[in-house]
Amino acid sequence: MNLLTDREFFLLLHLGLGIIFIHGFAGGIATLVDRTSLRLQGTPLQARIRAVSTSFMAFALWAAVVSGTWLVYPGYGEEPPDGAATTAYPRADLQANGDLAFWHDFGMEWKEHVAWLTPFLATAVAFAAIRHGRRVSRDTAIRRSLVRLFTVAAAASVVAAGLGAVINKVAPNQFLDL
Amino acid sequence: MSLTDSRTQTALERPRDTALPARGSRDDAEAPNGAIAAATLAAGIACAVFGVLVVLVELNEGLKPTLRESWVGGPLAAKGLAATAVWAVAWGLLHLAWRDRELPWRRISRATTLLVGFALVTTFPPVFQLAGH
Repeated sequence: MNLLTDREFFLLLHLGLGIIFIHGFAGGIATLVDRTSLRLQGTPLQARIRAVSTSFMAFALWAAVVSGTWLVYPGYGEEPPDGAATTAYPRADLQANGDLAFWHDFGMEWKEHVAWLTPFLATAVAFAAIRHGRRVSRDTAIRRSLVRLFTVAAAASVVAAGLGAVINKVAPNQFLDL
Repeated sequence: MSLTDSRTQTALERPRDTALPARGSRDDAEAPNGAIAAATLAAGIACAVFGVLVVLVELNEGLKPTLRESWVGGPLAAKGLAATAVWAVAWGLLHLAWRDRELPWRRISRATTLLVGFALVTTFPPVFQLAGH
């Protein structure tokens, strides 16, 4: 008995990365922003939490774009054979259905592209936190820049995840059973 | 004094530079900012290159079917891999050039912000789809 098809497993893997992302972002931003906690401020524990959290977020974002691009998207974007019903082909189905085409032409196009920006930004932040933790702790200007990059990466990820959730709801999902 | 007060006092008295260095790194509070500058600017460059590729592929409609057939993952995978390759090369070169230097951080930060901003604009569908029309 198969509990999950390959495509269902890939989608669950892709979605599950959100858990790592959320924890990584929370720990990273809390330890990058000044005065989040008087107890932790400037301590080795703060630097350690910052390094681990930003690394988790970078890992989650790389894994999300790789699994999304190579494991999930090919099933979503597959072209139906001539004359076949489009219900097992989400992209073709959305584009063949008037107003729903918006969810591919705008939604999926934005999701797939903006998501690819995020791992570069998160990796830069993680590198600084791991290799130059003391300088990051001391230098407010550097920390502010890292907060900006980290926040943009998180916001772009939220856009991508939100659009993915809506598209998953709007488009037919029979392709997951194949 | 309560346990909480004692902990708070200890943390407040602790100097800010006590963060532990990563094993094998040149981590100290006075280390030059060049390596961090290289990492952040390389990320900005990768984002901007990805944005340019999105527009270029949209400008060449004929490219999409070719990439769809010749790359697993299609045009998106091709753009992502190309940006990743540029990122790795740019980061490596910048790191080698800057790792021992102290750079004007404000300029690095501004350049990175501009590159990331450019990428956010060019990956917004109404903008890059305009190039295709």
